Amino acid sequence: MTPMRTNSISLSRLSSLPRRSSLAQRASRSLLAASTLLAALAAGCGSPKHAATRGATPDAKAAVEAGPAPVAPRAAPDWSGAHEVVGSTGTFLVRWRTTPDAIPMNEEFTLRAWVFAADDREHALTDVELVVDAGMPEHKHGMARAPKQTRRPDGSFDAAGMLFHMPGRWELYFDVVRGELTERAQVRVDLE
Amino acid sequence: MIRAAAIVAVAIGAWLHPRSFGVAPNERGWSQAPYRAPNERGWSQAPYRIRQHSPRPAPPADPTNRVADDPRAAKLGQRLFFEKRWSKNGEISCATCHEPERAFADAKPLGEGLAKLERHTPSLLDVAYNRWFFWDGRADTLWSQALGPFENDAEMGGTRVGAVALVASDATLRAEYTALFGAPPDVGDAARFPRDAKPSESNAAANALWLAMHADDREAIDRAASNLAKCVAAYERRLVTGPSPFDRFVQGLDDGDPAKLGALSPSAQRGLELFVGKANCRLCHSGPNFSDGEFHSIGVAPLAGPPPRDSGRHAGAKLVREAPFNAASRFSDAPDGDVAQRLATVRSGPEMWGEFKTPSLRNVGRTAPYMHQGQFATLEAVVRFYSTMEGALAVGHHQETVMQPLQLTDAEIEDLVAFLRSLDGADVADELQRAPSDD
Ligand code: HEC
Ligand code: HEC
Repeated sequence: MTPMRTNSISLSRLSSLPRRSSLAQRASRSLLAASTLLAALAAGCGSPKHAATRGATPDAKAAVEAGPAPVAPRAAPDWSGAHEVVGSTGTFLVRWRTTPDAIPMNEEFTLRAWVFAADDREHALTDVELVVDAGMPEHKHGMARAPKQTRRPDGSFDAAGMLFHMPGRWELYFDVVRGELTERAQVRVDLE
Repeated sequence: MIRAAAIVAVAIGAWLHPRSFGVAPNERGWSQAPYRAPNERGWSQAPYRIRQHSPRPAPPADPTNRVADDPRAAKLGQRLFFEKRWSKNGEISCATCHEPERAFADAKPLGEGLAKLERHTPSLLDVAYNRWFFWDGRADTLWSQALGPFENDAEMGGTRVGAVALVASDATLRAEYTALFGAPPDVGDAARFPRDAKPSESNAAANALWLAMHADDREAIDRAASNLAKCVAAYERRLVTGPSPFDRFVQGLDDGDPAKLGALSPSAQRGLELFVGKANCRLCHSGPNFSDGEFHSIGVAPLAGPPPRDSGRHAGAKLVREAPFNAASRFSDAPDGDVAQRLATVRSGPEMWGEFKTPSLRNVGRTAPYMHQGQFATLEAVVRFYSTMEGALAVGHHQETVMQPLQLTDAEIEDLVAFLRSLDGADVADELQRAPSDD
């Protein structure tokens, strides 16, 4: 997992996610890794813990906007280096990343996700729907926002305007819908 | 030996400086790094949660208001803020309720203008840091907020036509307006521009006059009125307080200066520790503004006793999306900007019933009474409420369940209050506390 880092985020820039991190970003990230190690040695781990958990009742209300007709993904996979989580019944794999890389405290971020069949991790599925939502189970509340969800031409999904407004334990919910089947993949995010 | 000393210095630096955590503070000036409870080595080991609150950067820009940072607009806005002529009875200005000498609030539980209001008047100190405006967040920009009280029949009872007519006929106001926006609309024909006309749900006569006006005339008035509101906001944006004792203390964490560290009494330091630790006030009162800018129900009962009638954010979320002057409207200078995009993602639902905006805690020592109806007279009463949750409204099954009685000791309550008092910033300049003197 990437170390926690706050980046400022401009909502107007959300639609143009960088495909790969720039050299400078990568350099600063390795610096970051080194100094985080220092901090971690002294301080314990400050990185958010992301762990896949299974099962939960789906109650996502946000609808996925119908986007342009899906086409096959391009050769160079956009999802390399993304986080991965398998759905509760093992049918689907969701790969996801956020902009900025580390989910910021109380600032809007965008999440991009791709859905795969669990047994074919090379080809993103284009015949599924995805609804992204999040909440704080300990406080029994969801996000204060209904993120704008769109499907991009390459079949990936963007949820823009996500907001984790409180520190503490969040869960990200990915509800994959294919025909009659809905499968939830769930990720824990601890925000300090 | 020298080398060893340097290493130690670097190591200490790593405790003290956010950058040394490898975490670049963002535009808001705060950084993310691990928090650990303070131990015998003192505050230098607990910087992260504290640093989230200080230093506080300049207020965020407001691209929806292209004159937000224009000093000429601020000056005109300052005139308008103290202007009584545009109220219905000629006796009420913004400053009647937002009194400069009372931290731009009124020290009363409920606001009082032409009639008594249902909610408490908030302080306008540091208001430019807020994400949403009003207790229910029904305005998304500072300038669109100003159009509310000014026409509200319980507050100033003015009309937008009357305001534009005043500006058009007053030589100073007219000149200052024209320099910024060009000449105000020619409203000389009072039959075509009835002074009592405004859109209003509660005032049928005013509403009928408004609807009888030509659409182009209404548009011209709306445009000019939004310009005036943007000037008022330009003034309000300047009501920024200076560093508080707490900010000096955080500087002391950086440079080890005992004088700065002494800005917080030992009691206030223990209060800070509670705030970011056991009492977990930082869950909602987060960031340099000590507010997440969002909405929660902490269960404070209405002044008149239960049952609660004010739906708070439940109505506010709907109102802000439909507001004719919101960030996405044609009167906004950034209708596709960040604030407009945020507006498009506002969620509403039954769980928001009775939620109110988390108020900033900066200057809180100066802004009694507290809460959306001024239910508590003192900070001690507020902290006692959080401690026992006595009299709290039961949380509906839809609602978030953050609040648990903290069961604080009397000494802890005293410490938290001492800390809250350390958040009072240095006052704004004298010349911002009265109508501008003509020069
Ligand atoms: C009659 C008293 C009164 C007058 C006059 C008045 N206000 Fe207010 N003001 C209030 C009250 C009460 C609230 C809270 C209302 C609510 O939340 O529904 C408020 C809220 C505000 C807020 C929102 C602050 C925040 O952070 O949410 C701003 C800004 C403000 N007023 C500015 C003004 C301006 C500018 C004027 C003059 C055009 C004005 N007020 C006139 C009583 C008044
Ligand atoms: C769940 C979020 C939440 C937590 C946790 C929380 N607050 Fe608040 N606080 C609020 C909200 C929301 C209000 C306004 C409520 C209202 O008006 O009904 C408020 C109001 C206040 C006020 C009154 C400010 C004013 O100007 O009226 C003070 C003081 C305050 N809180 C201090 C604290 C302290 C101290 C703690 C920790 C013991 C704390 N809060 C914990 C959300 C929270």
